[in-house]
Amino acid sequence: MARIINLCVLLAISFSMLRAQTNQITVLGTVTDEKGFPMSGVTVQVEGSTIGTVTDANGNFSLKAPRESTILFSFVGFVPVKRQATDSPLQIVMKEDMIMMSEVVVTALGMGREKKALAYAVTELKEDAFLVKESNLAAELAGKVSGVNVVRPTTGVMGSTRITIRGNGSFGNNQPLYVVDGVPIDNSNYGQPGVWGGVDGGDGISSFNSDDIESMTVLKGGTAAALYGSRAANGAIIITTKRGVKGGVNVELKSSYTFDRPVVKTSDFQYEYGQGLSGTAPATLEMTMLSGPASWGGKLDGSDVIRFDGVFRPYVAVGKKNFSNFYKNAWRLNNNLSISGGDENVLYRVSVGDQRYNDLYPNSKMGRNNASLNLTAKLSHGITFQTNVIYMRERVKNRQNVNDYASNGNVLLWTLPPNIDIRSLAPAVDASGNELLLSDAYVYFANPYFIAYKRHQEDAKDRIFSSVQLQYDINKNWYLRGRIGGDIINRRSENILPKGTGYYRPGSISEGSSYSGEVNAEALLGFNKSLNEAWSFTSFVGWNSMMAWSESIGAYGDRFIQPGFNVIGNTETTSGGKSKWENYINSLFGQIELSYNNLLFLTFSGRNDWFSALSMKGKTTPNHIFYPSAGVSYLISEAFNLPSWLSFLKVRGSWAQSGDSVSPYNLTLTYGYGETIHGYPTGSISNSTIPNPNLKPLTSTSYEAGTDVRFFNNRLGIDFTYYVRNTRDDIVTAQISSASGYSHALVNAGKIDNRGVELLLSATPLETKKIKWNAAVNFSYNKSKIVRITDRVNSFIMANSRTGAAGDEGTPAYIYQEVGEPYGIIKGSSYVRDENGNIVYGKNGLPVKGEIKKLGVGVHPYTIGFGNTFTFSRFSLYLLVDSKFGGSIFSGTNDMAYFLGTHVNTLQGRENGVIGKGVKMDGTPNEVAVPAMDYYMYIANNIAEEFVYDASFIKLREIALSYDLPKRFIAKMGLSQISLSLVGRNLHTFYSKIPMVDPESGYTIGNEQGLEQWGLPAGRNWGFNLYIHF
Amino acid sequence: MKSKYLFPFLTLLLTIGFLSCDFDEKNINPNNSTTIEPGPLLSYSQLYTSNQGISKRVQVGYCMMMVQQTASLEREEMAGDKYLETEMLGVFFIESYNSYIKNVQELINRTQDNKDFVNTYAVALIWKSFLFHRITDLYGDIPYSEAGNGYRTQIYYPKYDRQSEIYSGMIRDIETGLSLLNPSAPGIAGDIIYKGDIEKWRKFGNSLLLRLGMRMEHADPSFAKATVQKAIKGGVMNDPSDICMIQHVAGKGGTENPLSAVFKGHGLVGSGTVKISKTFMERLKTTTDPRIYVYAALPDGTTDFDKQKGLPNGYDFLTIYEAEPDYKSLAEYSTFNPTTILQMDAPMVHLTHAEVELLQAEAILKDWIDGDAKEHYENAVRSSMKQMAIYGENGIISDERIENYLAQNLYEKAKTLEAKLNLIGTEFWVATFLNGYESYANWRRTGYPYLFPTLFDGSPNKGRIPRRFTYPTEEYSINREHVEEANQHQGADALSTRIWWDKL
Repeated sequence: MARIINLCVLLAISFSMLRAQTNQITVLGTVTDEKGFPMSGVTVQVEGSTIGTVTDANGNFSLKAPRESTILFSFVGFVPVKRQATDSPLQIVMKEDMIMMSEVVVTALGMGREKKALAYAVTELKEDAFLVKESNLAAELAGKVSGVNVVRPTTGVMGSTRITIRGNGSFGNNQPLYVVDGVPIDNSNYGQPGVWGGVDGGDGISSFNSDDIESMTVLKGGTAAALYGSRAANGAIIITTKRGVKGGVNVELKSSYTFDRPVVKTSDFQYEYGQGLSGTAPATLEMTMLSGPASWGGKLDGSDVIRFDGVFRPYVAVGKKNFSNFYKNAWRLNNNLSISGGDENVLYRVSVGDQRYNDLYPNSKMGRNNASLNLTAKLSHGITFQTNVIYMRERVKNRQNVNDYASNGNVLLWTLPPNIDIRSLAPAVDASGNELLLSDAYVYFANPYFIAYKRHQEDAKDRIFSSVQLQYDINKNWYLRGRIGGDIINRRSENILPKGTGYYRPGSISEGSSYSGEVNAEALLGFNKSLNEAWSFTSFVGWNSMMAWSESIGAYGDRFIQPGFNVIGNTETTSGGKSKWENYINSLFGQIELSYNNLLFLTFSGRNDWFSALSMKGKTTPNHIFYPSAGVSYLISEAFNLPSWLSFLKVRGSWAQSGDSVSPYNLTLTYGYGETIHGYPTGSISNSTIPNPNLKPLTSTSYEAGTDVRFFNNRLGIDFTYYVRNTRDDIVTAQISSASGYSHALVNAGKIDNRGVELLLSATPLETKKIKWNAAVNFSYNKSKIVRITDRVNSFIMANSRTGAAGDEGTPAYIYQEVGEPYGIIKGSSYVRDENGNIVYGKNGLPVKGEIKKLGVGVHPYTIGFGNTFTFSRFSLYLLVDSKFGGSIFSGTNDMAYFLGTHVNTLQGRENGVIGKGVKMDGTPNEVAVPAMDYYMYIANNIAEEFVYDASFIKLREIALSYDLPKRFIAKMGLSQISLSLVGRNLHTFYSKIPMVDPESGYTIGNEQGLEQWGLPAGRNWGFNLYIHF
Repeated sequence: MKSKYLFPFLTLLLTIGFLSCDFDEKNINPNNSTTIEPGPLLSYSQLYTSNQGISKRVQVGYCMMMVQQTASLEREEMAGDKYLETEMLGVFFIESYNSYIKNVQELINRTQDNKDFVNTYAVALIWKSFLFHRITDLYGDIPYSEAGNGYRTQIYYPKYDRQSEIYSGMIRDIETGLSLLNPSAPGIAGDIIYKGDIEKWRKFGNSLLLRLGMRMEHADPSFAKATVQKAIKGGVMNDPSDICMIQHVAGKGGTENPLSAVFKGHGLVGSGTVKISKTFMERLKTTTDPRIYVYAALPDGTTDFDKQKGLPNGYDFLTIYEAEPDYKSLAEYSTFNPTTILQMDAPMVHLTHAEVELLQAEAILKDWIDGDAKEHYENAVRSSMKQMAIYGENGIISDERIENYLAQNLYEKAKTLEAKLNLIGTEFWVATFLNGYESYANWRRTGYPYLFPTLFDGSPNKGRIPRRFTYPTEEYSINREHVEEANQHQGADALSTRIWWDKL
């Protein structure tokens, strides 16, 4: 009987539906967001049915729906809207879902997961975070993510970026893994300046274009990235590129044109005394030559003094504008055109970009082109196909040498005596074609114009990054995913020191070519199931195979025969070589996530990695390691009835182990052959580091606990995390006694602890109909501590300053790793002080040189970013204030400015000698006057403490004032949107304690942070952005 | 897909995973060989006894400057002129162990138990002693018995041996080497010095014994005397062609004379960084020594006797006017002759017949061995001057000039033993010009020629010619207990501390 009743009801419903079919109307309308912009791709659906469509590029839709049915509008990240179907057109305004309860973020392996289920802190940056562009994508993270420390050295627009997440965990690599659309990229660095100078060859992440990026998710540290196993010790940055959206065709044009100007604190230079020595202006040409870059001459009194070219000119400060006269005409031009769209089955996006950079240094430039294709297709039988191909092309001319003298054109800008106009060196060469030098006695002080126009460096990079993914949804519970992706890079470089170069008259040339990359193949089987009403279960197991390689060929020619003809064939001696390496990691991994009533989530994962770099015939120790993780997330606000002002409360905790790979060929000794002489080949041990057959990857164990709380209807939110990250078995390339025949030995010995807090405060302090103010502060503090280096070594020098190196002028400062101290401390010689803190002077009136001691920490423990967005009608103003605190820097630029007398501080005592403030050995006040040159040269050569400065800063990192043209206005032109923005980057420094140079100066993205010398000046960048949506 | 397909699928996946886990072959370095023959190791250890940086800043910059064969107005770059302490003092230590010591030790590791390489092993032992004596003569106590073998012995922090023990060890190794040399066994592999001539190696080994024996004359007279006598009995060099030198080859960076290459590369002739010392020039001029034409030239290439001028030691650009009131330009002072000793293929000389004759003359005067000291002295002068032909056409000194030089009867004019020893020591100083290591060591041992220390105000060692080099600072952070042990035994790690054999 019951069955019959059921049947009748069913029939009745069917009939009514049939009737409804006949009673259909066409519902028309437009969907916009709160600002009035059309929203494309919004799902428009008749509630309780499968009838639906999506909005087109102009936000329009048209749908046949039963009269009196309910239409549901939904879009990820927006509050769904329901409306009654009517004949009259609907104007739908969708609001952003601030609570984002169902916000999905991309996590490890490209898995989209609901944010509420995550047991760890994760920060996702969306497209709007990349409004103010940088030449290196990674640098655009500065100030935006708590726990992330971004370092952009002063090496030019084509330089690299150092990113560390939650501190430095290793003496080796500390940079995160970058993953684009599920595939790890090759972020190899092509060379960094060191103590003996060099150029920043750029890195892998810089070539990606932020215009093509949908989102960037920062997986901080081991717990979030544990699924990447041996590559995740330093966290991972997951980048998702833009895809097409359903509905119509979107054509978008993004343009940006900005200018750079050098920022130099000229008030820290002296312009009162000129070239010369011992307080007198040079009387002869030979004395001028002998003085070279020294500004220890007489008072600039206007008298006629012989200059380096042999001409007498008035002795006056003509060099006040040297910086702005030399560094000029810097600009950046960026254009990006994209076409995207799609329907139910195919989504596509094609984009081409062109970026041009004219750097601050004259004749130093970079061009970059990106072309990308992104395609998603739903094939039959539940198979989805997805692919992206990105072609990246870079052409760089004249990367600049920094830190050392050799070929560093910035040196004279920082050191030129004030009575010399930099432009007097503009001819670059003398009558015989040799470098026009300030003085033949100072061949290493390069002529900046010679460096710009005669010395030549260029490199060209062509790169294909691509992935193909197939997903087969077997049934409701099972799916299978396969993916293969690769990053393949070809790079050529050329370096020419022409004949006539001051410090190397014969000249030389080198050419290099490298072919490198990384390919990953991955297969994954997923299983999701609701066990019962309360429990559900998602899981997967997978396999990954990684292969990375590099193959490089170099050729070198020394001493040009015919001047001006710069090819290898035109040199007296030539040499060349090739080197290559390959590295493989195979992995099996899996993850299980259990959720209880959608309020308690438990996640477990594991990964086992097998390493080629740990494999060798006859090796007894294992070549594989297992990396586990576990996490819990609990939504208290869902579990209990909380007061209404508390909108959301979640607590989370997790534990994980991850690692860092080992580089290949480190297990055995090898030999290489050198020159052959008289028919005898020479051969020698090629290792300078003793290989270790028992090597294993380091292990990084992390714990974290955190909470996410939101109040007052999400007007105020707090996201707090406490973490601990302990590195064990860090691979220490331990310095050993040279008497062993080797400089270093590889040992698994290091222990480094990091712990810290991250706090994200987000608020909407003001919200009216017209005006809205969103603010977010991210704060982080990281405390690092070296626990152990090796059983033998308690400290080692990681780097030393150029000043004082090999006994040269200036005082040596060091970056040390020392047990019990934070990562990377600055050490150097200090003043000797009495118990009252007074500096102690010797009988000669010079400060007594104290012991070598800790003078600061090279890495800032505190970073604070403060972002604001004000929206008022069509205008929006975005401000990002970025700051770091607690770190120091040893400034070689300041040291050498003391040595050469260009520093403003060296004015004191020029006429009557310097009486240093402090006490004599016997405690009575020092009253011995020392000639200024002797005094400041002594300080420059002996007291590192004088040149260690607090590197803390507060900067206006980004600013953008945007205006959207009124819709009625642009509709006439057939466009959907036009936005104009005034943008600025690094426009103002609110706080800095370091003289002469920018507080963010540095020459490397290496671990040795805290040293600076003679880089490019910091730049102030501003200009316009234009966005057109056709 | 039904679950029955799942198992095969998973199995397939796992198989792919594990199949490619056979990684042993993937970790073999494709750039470098995993093995090597002894020959190339010997060639390397011989050829790279010097490099550009060391030649410039240690061989010339310290050793030759300190014994006033050369002079400079520079400070750090040519620090020996003013007895300044720079990191270069330690760099020689570091580079020695990291290059030739490591590889000569590897050569010994690879030949010591191999009958086919008995002669190569013998030469390796002798050459190792040659290399070590240079290091220990500069520093005193150094790592020796545990040194240079870090990969095989896992000794990363070698102890410092006493110089007396190092000398015994070196002499023992040379004697073992000499006893193993066997003309009927397979020849020496990779010998670029004597091209496998076993007889020449015998002479070299004994000559090195003579050098080491004389070195110990004050520290251990009886052992010194016995060693010298043994060397003479074994047969030392007796012809200029017995010279131990590396004949360099122009055209390739690695085979060029490193000193010439660094002079050319850094334009040191033009820059005036290195000048012939006034002390040395005066000796050449007062004795009308024909070697002046080989050694010296003005920067413009002039080799006229009268125009040659030496630069006084111990001054910089500001103070030079005190010594040379009429100073105008460095172009007026003599530097190395680019057409002879600075040719890119010029040989680098390590031990000469002339030195051996002089050491014998000295040993005769000390009654350690029999013979005619004057004859040995004159042999030495002739040999040294004839030997200049190794520097090509412009190096050839005519017999007439040689006899004219000897006709001054310098030996006869030296009446006292002291005067004779001074003459011999001074001739040694002239004959070993360019081999600064040996000039410096012999000066410290004998005190000849008499040198007046310079008085540069800016130098912490003003007025004191250094007696040794200081250890690299990195040893204090890495190998502290061992280096401090050495200091406790030898004395403070200072330039003024005397090493074991330096007892004058």
